[in-house]
Amino acid sequence: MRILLIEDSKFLGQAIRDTLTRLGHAVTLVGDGMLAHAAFETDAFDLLIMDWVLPKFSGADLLARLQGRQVPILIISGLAEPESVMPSDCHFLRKQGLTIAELVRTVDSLAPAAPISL
Amino acid sequence: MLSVLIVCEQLQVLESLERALSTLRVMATVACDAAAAKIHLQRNSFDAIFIDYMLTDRDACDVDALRLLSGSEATLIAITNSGAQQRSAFSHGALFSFPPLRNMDQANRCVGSVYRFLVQKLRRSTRIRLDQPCRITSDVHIHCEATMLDISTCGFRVGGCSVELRQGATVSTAVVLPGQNIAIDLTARIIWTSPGGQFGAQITHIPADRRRMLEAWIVERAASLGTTSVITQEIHSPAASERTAS
Repeated sequence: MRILLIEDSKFLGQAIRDTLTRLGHAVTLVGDGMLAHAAFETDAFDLLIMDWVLPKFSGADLLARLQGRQVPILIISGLAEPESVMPSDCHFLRKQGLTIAELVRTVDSLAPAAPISL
Repeated sequence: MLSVLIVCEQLQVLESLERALSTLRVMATVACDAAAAKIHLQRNSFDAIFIDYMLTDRDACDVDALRLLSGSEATLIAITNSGAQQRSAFSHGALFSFPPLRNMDQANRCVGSVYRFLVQKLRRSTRIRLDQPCRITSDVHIHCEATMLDISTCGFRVGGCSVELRQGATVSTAVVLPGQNIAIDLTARIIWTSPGGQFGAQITHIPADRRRMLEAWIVERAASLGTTSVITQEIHSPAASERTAS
């Protein structure tokens, strides 16, 4: 899969990118919403993995700008109750207690899924 | 700058560690499992390795084994909240054990204590090669011009001393370190001597401000030179003492 990973934490970005790359995915890592938007303008992706709290654009701002794009979105959030603030058609994982292995399993489960219309 | 490897797959723990380490002079590399850790251990040397024992036990043990195989003397820090895993980590040589770090206060305290330990270890174990002129004054007021050949926070080695100094004698000297413009005054006790006017001395007194200056210089210099350009043996040289005795 071609994956766009939007993560401002260098540790998390490096860890997730390296693992997914080792599993055969092509991962583009960007550190903020503005760069993510620019990457979407130039490249096509099969999956977007994003932190909800981002510099420059928030997660909500970015999703608004990506409206109409056909791509599944996986949101990783440190918020206590992410369901209350996130779009219902996105997949999400709580950061608390989340491991890279669980993230990989979720990514695998999203591979054959039909893209979501924003 | 200190170099650490973090082997951990818990996102929240990684994030806490990143924030805590960001305020310190540390270069961190992240690996999520033993396979990734192996690649980093083969390519680089590290001052410390944080291992998440919540990885599968097998992975954590693999990293331990890899650390030993690679000959790494890195300080091992276990991340676990299990008593059994903690015991296992200590039996593998871990010096610290933390629970998974879930908030900044906890992360700052834990990482801060490891950082202070590592810096102290670096200061104590690292001697930097020098070629600096110095004037030696012995406790019986013998003066001679010599060359300081290396220095640590514990001691120094001098060569080219034209007068014979005895083992156990107290000497004082002042040396201007490369890149510095203030002399560091040292009082020291001679631990060993050898033919050719060489001796090794253990520092017994250094003014507090000069000590801070020396420590900072050694840490900076060790980082910029890399581990191959510094000497890590102890200042006391049994081989040299034997030479003197014979």
